[in-house]
Amino acid sequence: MLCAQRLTFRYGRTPVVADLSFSLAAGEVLGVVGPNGAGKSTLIRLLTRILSPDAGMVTVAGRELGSLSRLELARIAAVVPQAAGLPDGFTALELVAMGRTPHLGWLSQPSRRDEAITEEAMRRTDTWRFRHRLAATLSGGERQRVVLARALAQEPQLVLLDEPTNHLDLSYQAELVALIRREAQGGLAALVVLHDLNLAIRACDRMLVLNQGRLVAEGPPAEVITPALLRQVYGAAAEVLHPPGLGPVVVPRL
Amino acid sequence: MLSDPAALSTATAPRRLPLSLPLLGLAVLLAVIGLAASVGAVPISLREVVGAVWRGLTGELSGPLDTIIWQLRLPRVLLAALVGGSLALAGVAYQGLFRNPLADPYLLGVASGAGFGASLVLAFSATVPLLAQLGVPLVAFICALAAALLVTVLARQGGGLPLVALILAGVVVGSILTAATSLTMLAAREQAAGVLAWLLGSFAFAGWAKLASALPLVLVAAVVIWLSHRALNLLALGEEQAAQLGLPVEAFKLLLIGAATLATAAAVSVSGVIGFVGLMVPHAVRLWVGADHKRLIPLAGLAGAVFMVLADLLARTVIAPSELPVGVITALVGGPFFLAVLRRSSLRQREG
Amino acid sequence: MLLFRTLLIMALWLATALASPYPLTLTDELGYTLTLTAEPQRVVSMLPSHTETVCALNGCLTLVGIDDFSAGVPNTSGLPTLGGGLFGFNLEAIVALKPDLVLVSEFGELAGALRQAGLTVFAGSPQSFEDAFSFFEIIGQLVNRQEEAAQLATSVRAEVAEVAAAVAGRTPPTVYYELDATPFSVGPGSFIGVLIAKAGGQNIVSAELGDFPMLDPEFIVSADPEIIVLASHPHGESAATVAARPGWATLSAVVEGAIIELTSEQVDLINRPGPNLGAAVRLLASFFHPDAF
Repeated sequence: MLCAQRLTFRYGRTPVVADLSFSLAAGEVLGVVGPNGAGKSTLIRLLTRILSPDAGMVTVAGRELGSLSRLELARIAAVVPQAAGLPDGFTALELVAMGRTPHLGWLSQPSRRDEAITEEAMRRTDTWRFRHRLAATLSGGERQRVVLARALAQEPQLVLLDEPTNHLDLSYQAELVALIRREAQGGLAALVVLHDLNLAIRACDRMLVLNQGRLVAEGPPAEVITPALLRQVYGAAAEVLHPPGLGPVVVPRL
Repeated sequence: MLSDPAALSTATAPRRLPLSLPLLGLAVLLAVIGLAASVGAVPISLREVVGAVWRGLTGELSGPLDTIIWQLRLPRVLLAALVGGSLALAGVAYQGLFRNPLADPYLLGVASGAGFGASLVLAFSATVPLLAQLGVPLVAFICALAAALLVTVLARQGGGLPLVALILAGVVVGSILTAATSLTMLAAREQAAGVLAWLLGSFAFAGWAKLASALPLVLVAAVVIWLSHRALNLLALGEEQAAQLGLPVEAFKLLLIGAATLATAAAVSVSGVIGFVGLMVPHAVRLWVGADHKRLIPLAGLAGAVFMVLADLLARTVIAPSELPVGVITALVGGPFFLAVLRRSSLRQREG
Repeated sequence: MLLFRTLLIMALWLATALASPYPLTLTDELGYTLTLTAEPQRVVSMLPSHTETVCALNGCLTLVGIDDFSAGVPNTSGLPTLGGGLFGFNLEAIVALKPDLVLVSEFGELAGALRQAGLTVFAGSPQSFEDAFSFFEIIGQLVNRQEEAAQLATSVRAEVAEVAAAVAGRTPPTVYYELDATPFSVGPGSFIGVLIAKAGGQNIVSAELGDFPMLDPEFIVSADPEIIVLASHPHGESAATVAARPGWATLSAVVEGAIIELTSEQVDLINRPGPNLGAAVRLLASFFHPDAF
């Protein structure tokens, strides 16, 4: 679904993303973790062509990223951005409906089908019940789900989520992760940048560990997250516990 | 005005707004135009007004009262409506572009450009006959467009138009042109009062010709802005997210700036720099009907037109047959109006 | 006894006649008191009407400097012009001339700045019709030409009276006097308004509109003035541009061609409350009642 080869981006002289290669298949949740400054947000920007790579290539749904128009790209890939500040004055429904824009011409009216897709996206994210509330009145968790609904309304094959659980309460975090996994089961490919390691372990099928723009490790979380890696990448001393049935749990040693 | 706070907090039902709000707005505008055409420095009865309009349409004007209604008052009122609507639309575009309710159509140097052009003509017509031939509106229009172009060129960075760069360039170009205008006023001191009066805005010598020259420009701009309603909604999410939703952001910004500048320049060149309308009307209408540009654009345009017709009516009746500059009225009346709107909206937010 | 009293009276009279009016103390329009210890020999005038008045009182030779706008006053060529136009006033040049007296208007900061530089300054300017005559007297006092001042006042009043007599009994035509194209006009209480009245014209502007009202064109059209005077002509307005204004083509003045395009000299003449106001009234009267002049 998504394939990046030797992706490189420099800010001035400093490489922010260096020689990054990975792939993502449909129905898979790929987690991206790493310390601050590892290049995670930049990666998403590169994948949505907000930034242009200095070297390397990205293919999306079999087509080269550079050959797609903005509109074509928006029909394939949707972004759930970091700490989404939603503009005042729009209702939740209006915001989610914006996700249909890549499928509408600039001059055409939303059809019944568009409205149905919007509603479906909102029901799947449990945001339909407050669809007429203004954005300013929504809680952090509700807002994040609205943004996810908007991404789903785009009918994407690929969703890129940039730290979607920042500033969210624990219950909302779990909710969101469950949502993402559910959508992936439906065939969506998801790339999730996460700050919280434990959440990432639970959220993803495979994981990329970035450090200073380079890929340091790749694979299922259980294989990838080891105390040695944590020491190397985060400079932290931590225990990795393996309670039965839960997957690895990272506990920092004080 | 809206609203029932309870309805907002349960929010399973859409906000209660009359469906045909634009139609209602149009009706209000027509009524206000009728009112303004009937009232003025010279008392003329409603029957005579209607008769004069009829005779004007059929081409059988007779007498000074007919002349006053058909040649002076009616075009003046219509021009006020056009200018008001045009400034409001430009305001909607700029506020959507900059995602800031403090943005107004004069941010990118249009007003200072037009002012400078007008001051040149008013001050130097005697010594430079070409200026007299071209006339204030044309020179003001050209200078307004030139100023906006200069701002855009100065702000260009790496193939894009960063908003901050636009604002800074606008400030720079604006200050230079304002200083140049002051210099011009000093150089032709007897004309200073005239330049000042022009800068404060006036519809005094409206006339059908001015209306005809401004109308097509405003219409083109209005159509472009209307067609951009969905794009403007996307832009409210921020440029990055709008791009990720498929909007060609830089190209769209250029288009929008072009349309809004055209509307503003056309308005300012025929009426002077009338402040407040482009800033307040879109903001007030947004607080009332929400941020969806599909609703906001037509309603702001209509509201701007109504507001300007009423402001001009006040300007020419308050101390009739003397006049106040319209810009003074819009500022004095608009200030408290805005305060009321602000207070109501903050009340609404506390309850909602 | 009678002889003694007569001699005493004659002596007193002689003493008064021979007495110098100096040192002279006056208060100007800014409330400042100035003292002249002798008749000023070096006078700077920074206002055209003052320049005209000084010259009309035979004091032209005492002038050592004038402002830019006074440059057109006769017999002043060759005098240094000290500012007043684009770049403000040339304070240093004024001080360098070491004037005994500087005549300035009460507006602006020139008076204060010159006083601080130690000069003797009289700040004031004639704003109304009667002001013009008061200033003949004041300037006459300042430059020790009271007799000439009295004569000037008399002759100007006579000139005005002569014009008034010539137009007396004739129906005054209605007049619209355009200061500039905004449109700004003049009220009857202003200097120009008074001139218009004395010249036998009927200003369409009435007193309650003030001295310099900005008019609604509707009002002008409905008043249908018989004569339109364009003081705005030096800045581009003409009979043609007036006729092109929406709704103005059918005005009587336009149809009859009764539109007076003033030259900038004529505008200056009418604008200045000074020794030439008689000529100004006569000029206006020649427009309003051409057959009488």
